[in-house]
Amino acid sequence: MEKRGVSIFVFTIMFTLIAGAILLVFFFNFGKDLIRFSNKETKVENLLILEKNLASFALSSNSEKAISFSDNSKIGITCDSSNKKLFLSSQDGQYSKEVKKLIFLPFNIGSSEVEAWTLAWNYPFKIDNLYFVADKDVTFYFPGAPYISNEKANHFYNKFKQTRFEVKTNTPTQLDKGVIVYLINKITPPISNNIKAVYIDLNDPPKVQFWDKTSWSSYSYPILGDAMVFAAIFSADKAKFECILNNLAKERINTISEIYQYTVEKLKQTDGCQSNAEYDTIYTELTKVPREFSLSVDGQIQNSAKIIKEQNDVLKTTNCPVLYKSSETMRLL
Amino acid sequence: MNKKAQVQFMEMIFVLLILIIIILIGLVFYYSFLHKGIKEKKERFTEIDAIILTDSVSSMAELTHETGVINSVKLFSLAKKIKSTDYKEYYANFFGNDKKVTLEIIYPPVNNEKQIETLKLDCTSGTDIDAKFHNKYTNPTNECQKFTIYDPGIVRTTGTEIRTNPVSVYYPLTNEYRIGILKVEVFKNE
Repeated sequence: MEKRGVSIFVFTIMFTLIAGAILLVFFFNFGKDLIRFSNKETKVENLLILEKNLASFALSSNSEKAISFSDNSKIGITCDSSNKKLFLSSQDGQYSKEVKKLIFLPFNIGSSEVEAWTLAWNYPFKIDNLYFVADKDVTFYFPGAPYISNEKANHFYNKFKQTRFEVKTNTPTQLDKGVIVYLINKITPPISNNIKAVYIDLNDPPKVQFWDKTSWSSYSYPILGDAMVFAAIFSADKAKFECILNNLAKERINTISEIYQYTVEKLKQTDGCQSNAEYDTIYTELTKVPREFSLSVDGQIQNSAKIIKEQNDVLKTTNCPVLYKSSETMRLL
Repeated sequence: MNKKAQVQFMEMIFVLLILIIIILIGLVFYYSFLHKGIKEKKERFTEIDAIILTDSVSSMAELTHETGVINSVKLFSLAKKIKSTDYKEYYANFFGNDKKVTLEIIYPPVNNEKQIETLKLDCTSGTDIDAKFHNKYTNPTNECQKFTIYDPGIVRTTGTEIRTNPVSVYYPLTNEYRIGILKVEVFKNE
């Protein structure tokens, strides 16, 4: 094997180099996997932190909080219209989580702390909670506010002003990042990728129009209840608003209407309430809701919601149980 | 090979062997800690999931009468809805197929209150929900001690994370309020 006098040194060096290289490659890959795993874990944790925080304040009909993440988080919302699903996802698309919450983000999240606000969506009974989330660098512009001559517009402006989101009353420049909210008259906003604009017409039936990069979209979407005004502001995007409204929101309205149909039948069992006409009227209107829900501003569903609210108010004056209890004054119903 | 070289060669092999064994022991320890860490994270995520669900159920529009109050009649409505084929998948996604959600009335006690778990009358499980509403729920014979809100059909007594929340329960037919315990059981994968 070895001639006399030939050193073993060369063999040792070769052996050490090969073994060292194998170990080095192994540890390099191991480290790489560990970093990848750790990054993924942070992304998953951030999505869970966001969802957990939103769920924790769902009990309230109107509350807000700041949510902190373990690092600069990149989170977006994807609405899948074909499967009627809403996903919270890390922006690189590596991880996404289906959520059953109606969450609206004007821009993708890109920081370690966000402001979140929840409002009960009543139409006329509670359908769900709506969740509004934005980074601290997003400003909401209400040009012309306060709206002294318009009570409804002033109400929504004041309600927004009470939140911790950044509100300004000037028109932004192209360098700013935010959403312009027109509640009286719409004009052409500054053209920039960081500026979005919505025009909310609060006259009956209320509707919203979105700025579509270069012009106002020709289509108006219905505003179903007061909380939807803020949903329009926070989605600030035609496609996103349409997708959430036409899928998840529609699904929720239909589900809750059907739940109330069963409930009305049961409430009629109360002693002395069997022949109560209010329950019958409410039941009829509840059955209409699923087919009346549409993206057109025809006001049909608005009428049904109004009748249900009126009949429920009448029930308050009788000994029969009300269908739902609500203390909120609805401006758009 | 001379004797000295042979000894040197054996020494080198021995040192490398020791080195490899030390590295392997290190790796085993490292992987076991990593595995433990992942397991703890998984448990934490499961716990967060249970918290999310407990809070979500307490505020579900399908169940609430007003903020933070569950309407007992709506429990029957939701039970019927969940059993219909159109909504089975929706609620399976909402609750998750590894979680069971129940509500138990604790105060004031219902008629014929039972202490043994299996004897407690559950008015929203099974198929005869309407019959239970007419015979067991309506005043003055209210015997509904438990309400199953969602049951994925898993039976397991171990490996379960349980979260509870006290809730106020409204009885619209008699305009009464009771206190209940909302229980979310998460069945963990072993």
